[in-house]
Amino acid sequence: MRILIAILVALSFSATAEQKVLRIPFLIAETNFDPAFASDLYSNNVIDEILEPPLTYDMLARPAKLKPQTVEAMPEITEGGRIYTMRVKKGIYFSDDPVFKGKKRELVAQDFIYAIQRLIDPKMSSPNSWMVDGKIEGLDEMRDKAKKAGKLDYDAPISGLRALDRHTLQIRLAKPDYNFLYILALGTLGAQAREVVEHYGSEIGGHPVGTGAFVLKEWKRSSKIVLERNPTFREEYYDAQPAAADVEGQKLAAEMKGKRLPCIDRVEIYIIEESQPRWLAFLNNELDWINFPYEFRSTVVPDGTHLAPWAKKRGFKTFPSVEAGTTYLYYNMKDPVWGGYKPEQVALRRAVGFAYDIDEEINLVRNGFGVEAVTPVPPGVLGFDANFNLGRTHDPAKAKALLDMFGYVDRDGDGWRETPDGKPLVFEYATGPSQLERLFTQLWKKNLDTIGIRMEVVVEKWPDLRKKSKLGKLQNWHLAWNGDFPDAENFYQLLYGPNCGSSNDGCFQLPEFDRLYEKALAIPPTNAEERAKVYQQMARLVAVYQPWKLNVHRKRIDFVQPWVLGWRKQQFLHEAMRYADIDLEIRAKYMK
Amino acid sequence: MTAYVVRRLWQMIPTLAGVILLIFFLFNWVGGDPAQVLAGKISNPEQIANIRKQLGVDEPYWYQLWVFVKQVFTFDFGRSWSTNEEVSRILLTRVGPTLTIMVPVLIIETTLAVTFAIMVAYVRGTLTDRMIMIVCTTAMSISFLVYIIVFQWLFGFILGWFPVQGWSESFWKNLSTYAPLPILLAVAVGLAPQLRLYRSFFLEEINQDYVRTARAKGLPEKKVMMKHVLRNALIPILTNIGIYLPSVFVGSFLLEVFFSIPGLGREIITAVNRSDFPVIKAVTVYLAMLTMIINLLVDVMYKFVDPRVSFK
Repeated sequence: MRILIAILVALSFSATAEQKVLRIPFLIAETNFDPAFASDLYSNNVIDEILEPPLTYDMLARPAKLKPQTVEAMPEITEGGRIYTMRVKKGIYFSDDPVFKGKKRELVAQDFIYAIQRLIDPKMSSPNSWMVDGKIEGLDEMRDKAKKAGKLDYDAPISGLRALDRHTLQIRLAKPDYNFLYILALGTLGAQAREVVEHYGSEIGGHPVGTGAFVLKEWKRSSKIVLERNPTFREEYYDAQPAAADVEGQKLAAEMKGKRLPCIDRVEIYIIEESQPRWLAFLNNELDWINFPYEFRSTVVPDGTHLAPWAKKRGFKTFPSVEAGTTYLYYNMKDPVWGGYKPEQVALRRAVGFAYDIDEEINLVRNGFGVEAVTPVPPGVLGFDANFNLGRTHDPAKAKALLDMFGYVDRDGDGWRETPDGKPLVFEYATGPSQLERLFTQLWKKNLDTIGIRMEVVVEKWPDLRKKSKLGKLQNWHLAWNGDFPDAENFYQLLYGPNCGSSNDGCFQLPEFDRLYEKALAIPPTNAEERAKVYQQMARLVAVYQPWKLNVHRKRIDFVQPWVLGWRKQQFLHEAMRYADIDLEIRAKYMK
Repeated sequence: MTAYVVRRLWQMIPTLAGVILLIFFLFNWVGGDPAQVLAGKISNPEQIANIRKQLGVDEPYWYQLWVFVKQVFTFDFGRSWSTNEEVSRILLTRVGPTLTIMVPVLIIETTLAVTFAIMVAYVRGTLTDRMIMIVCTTAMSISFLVYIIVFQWLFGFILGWFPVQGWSESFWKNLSTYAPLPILLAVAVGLAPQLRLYRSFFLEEINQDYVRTARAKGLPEKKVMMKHVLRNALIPILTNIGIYLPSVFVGSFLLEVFFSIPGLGREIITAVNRSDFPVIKAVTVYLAMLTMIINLLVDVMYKFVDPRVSFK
């Protein structure tokens, strides 16, 4: 009788217990939740919560640190970074789905192989194939064969991808690459059950089925996404290891210590593109966290760091950070005037660099939300050197002196400089039509006018600019790169010679730089210091040859409601909703 | 009348052909290369070529045009290039929220504009008339965006009368909770120009001889205004509504973006930004068809409003 009463009490309690609901905004509409199809940040935020790759990041460790997620331990790396062997944890199950016909479906090594195969399936034309292109032994050959046959044979063996047994996955790379570890932490490589993908076919993007902490419950495209706690999620507890000196991290770890994941029952994601409704919804307690829209800086964070008194009273937690990304303007190194490696060509690029007022960009265009980039590598990424100092980067007098010294002078008296051989010197600035891009155009024009360089503006839509860029038809272009993983390789691959025509838009090809790039890849992660030294040499080469005019690393401030526990932005884990908790009592107090 | 309707329907075919050609050439000459958008952050020429092949944009122009024509007549525009969602499903799911906002806007705005316009026209030249015209001119001079920002901040945040943004699955919840503020905004913005326009229609009629005759006959003012003036002014009003009606199905992009309404207007802009040609094609073609059908219906309705109209 007592047991019956206890069960009834427990049932009635669970029926009335208030759900922990986390509500967050997306700034741009998602596209699709098929990891082989979606390449946008917001779709990947959701994919990361549903599908699980072998590895993940420690939520609080800074700098970012990898840890096992669905594998028992970190992969065993042998043959100098060529072979990765890992044991998939036993007893991990996919969330329930009608395809499994009521049976539990265990995660096996083959599910990871299948996810990788989908990336190179010609029928998918996956935008994420770069993650494995040329990396895994036999994979490129398999794709070529599939192209000829018109169909990928998923059952054909691949020398580089093998399930040694049901739970052992072995990946053999085409050449040594210790950074492949980071690829194993990308949600795109999240395990997928083949029978599910085949069952849903072209509708798989709306039916993601994984082993993650959440399942997709509701999806009103471009409007609302609802995730719910995966009832079959394995027993996993919060475990983060912030540095001892990281006071904030230690506090967050203490808040969450020993809690079973996920702590929240439901996540509601709203697509709110405009900053005003997003910010007002946050102030109205309709959202739990938000990347602060910098338009409101003057009223909320007047000095750029401290909250205004009214905002302080609201109890908001704020987490300022510098994003793991870099904005820059690349020069087409094949351009006869602006490209090249001769002293006068380098001097011209350096002069333009000196003419550009980066403080004006940060303070006026970005409202203070940026820090000057002096190397391509942002803070928090291996290879970032806080002591790297270029001296004064804005110096119009030095710019003019350099131009005069190398013969870029005004010969015809029209007020504009010509090239040393007397031809017109024109900076063709490629840009798009948005308001922000117009501001940049004005800034560039103003700065180049100061040193007597004529600027012409090429305004086109992004796809057209990209097409021209890939064909080498632009003189320069302003771009941004957000890091996929915390190693400088992810940034320096944009300057690696053999990547000309793909990711190296400016076609910077310097044998010394390429040699260092390859050297860095072969250094094991256990020897991070040595690798960082190589990256610093590469940074110096970039500073000397200036294939890019570096702009900023963007800053952000994450505002979090007082009732949200344990969460702060982890640059490589996206939203990391599974690590957050909500204190319902505190929320109720604030809601009154 | 049947012959007239059949003739008009026939005339739609060359118009539709023109629309198809225009969209096709605009997309191919002005629109960006979708393969560049879909290729992801790191791509190579081989990948771009493969995506172009998958999308069919590497086929000869005449073949792509033929596929487009087939899609128009089979009502099957395939799948969105950027989301892989069926285009028909996109249209069906987005049109509901748009109509939830725009139909009440049309009804309220037209009712208020016609009512106020006839009242103002009746007191033409008085202080009331002048004051209302000044208010209308001022209201028309302010940007729609300013209205949205101020209304959202004032009514949604400061006063808390409406939610700042949002949308639900329930039609009634949307109509009662999320739609009122966008509707109020759209009506506030649209009322002033409509009122001024309709006032001019009524003034035109009030100065006609038949109105003077009616008054000379001793008809009560109410009857003169409501039966004679209103009925005759309805033809230009109907024409104006006919012009406005297709936009009801497209919605207001700004309203949908600022209030997070998953409507068609927002979808169109997203599709344009993503060079999502299947969605752009479908929306444009259906909108053209809708415009032609609405024009035909308005022309037919003239006959019922004004018996002097004949179908020739």
